[in-house]
Amino acid sequence: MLFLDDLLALPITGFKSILRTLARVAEEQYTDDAPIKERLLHLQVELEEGTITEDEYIQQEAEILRELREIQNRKRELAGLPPEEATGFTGKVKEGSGVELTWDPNSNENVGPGR
Amino acid sequence: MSPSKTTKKKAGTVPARPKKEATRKEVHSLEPVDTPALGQSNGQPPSQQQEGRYVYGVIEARDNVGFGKIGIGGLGESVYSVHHGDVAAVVSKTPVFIFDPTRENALAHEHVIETVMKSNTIIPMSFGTVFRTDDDIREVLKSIYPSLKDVLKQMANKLEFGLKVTWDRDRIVEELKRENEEIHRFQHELTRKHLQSTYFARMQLGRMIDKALSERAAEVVREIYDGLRTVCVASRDNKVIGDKMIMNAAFLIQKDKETEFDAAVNAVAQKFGDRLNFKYTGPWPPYNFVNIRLKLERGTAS
Repeated sequence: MLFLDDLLALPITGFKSILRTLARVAEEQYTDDAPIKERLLHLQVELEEGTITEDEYIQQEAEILRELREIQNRKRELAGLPPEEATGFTGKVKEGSGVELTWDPNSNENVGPGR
Repeated sequence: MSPSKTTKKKAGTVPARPKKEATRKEVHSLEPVDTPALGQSNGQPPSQQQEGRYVYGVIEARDNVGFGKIGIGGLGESVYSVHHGDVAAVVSKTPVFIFDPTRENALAHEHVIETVMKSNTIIPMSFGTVFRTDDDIREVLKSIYPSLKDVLKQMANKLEFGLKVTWDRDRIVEELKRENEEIHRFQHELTRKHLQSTYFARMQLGRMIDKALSERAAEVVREIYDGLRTVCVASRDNKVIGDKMIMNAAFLIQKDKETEFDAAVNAVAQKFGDRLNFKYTGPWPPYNFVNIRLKLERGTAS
C-alpha cells in the first residue's frame, strides 16, 4: 500500500493511472469481506450436512470472524473513520428510512425462479 | 427422500445482514454501511461499558409484553417491549458492544424471535442492532410509524419457510453422460478416436456437461416452484451455496396454509425421490420479504 502510494507521488503521468488502478484493485481485495462471509455460509452448510462437528465449526467460525473484523476495521481505516465505535444508535433516523415489502401484494406474480 | 421440516432451526444462519451477502437475499440494510453485526465483540468486559438496548424486531402491541429472561448476551436479561402507540420494539438490555454473528449469538437472537412469533407477527431487525436507550427506540418507532403499520398489516398471519435443495452432482453427471444425446455422442466419439486425453477435448466435454447441468438444474427448480405456487404468497430466490445446491429459496406462506404447504413440499420431494435432497426449515419471521431500511446515527462515546 505504502509503496504504491509513494510511486503515485512521482510525476510520471502514463504510469500513474495504471498504478492507481493497481492500487485500487489491491485496496478492494484488501477490504472485500464478501469471500469471508461466503466461507461462513459454507461452514454453516457443512455443519448442517454433518461433514464437520460442532467443535470444528466453532473453531473455524472464530477464525473467520476474526478475519472479518480485521477487514471491517481496515475498511474503516481507509475511509478515515476511527475503529468501530461501540456507542449504540441514537433515535435519529435520516431521510429515506422505513420499512417496505420486497414483493408486491397486489400482484399474482410473486412466486417463481429469479425473484 | 422425504424432508423433515426442522422447526427448531439448526443452522446458526445469521438472520440478517447488510447488503452483498452470499446466500440470503440482502433484505435488511442498516445504514451507515458499517455492519452492526461485526466488530470487536470481546473487547472490554461488559461492566466497563455503557448500557444499551438490543432490538430484535417490531410487533403490533399497545400494552407492555414480556417474553421471559432470554435476552442475547448470556446474562438472562428480560425481553420486553418499548412502545409508540400500538407498535412496539422487542428489546433487552445489553452492554453496548458490537455483536459478532457467532452461532451462539445468532441462536440467542433467533430464540427470542421464535418466542415472540408464537403470539405475534414480528418484523425482524438486523442482527446486532443496539440502541442507546428506550427513548431512542421510541423516537425511531415514531419516525417510521406509518410504514411499520403498513408492513405489519401485510405480514399479519404470514410465515416464512426456507427450502434448500441439493443433488448428487456426480450422479447427475453420470446420468447426463448416458441420457444427454449430445454429450453421449461426444464422449463416444472421444473414446473411439482415443481423444479422451487431449486437453481440448476434455475442456469441451466439461463445458458441455456444465451447460447441461445448469439446464437440468433450472428445469428441476422450475418444477419445484410449480409444485408450490398455489400454496404460497411469494418466494425469493437466493444465491446457492456450494456446487451441490441447486435451489436456495424462501417462501412466504399464509399461516392457515401451513399444512398445505408442508404437504406440497413433501409431494414435490417424493416426486424426485432420492435424486434430490430437500432441506426445509421454518417457520421464520419474514426476513426475505421485508426490507428494513434504517439510516441511523451512532451516539458519541461517553
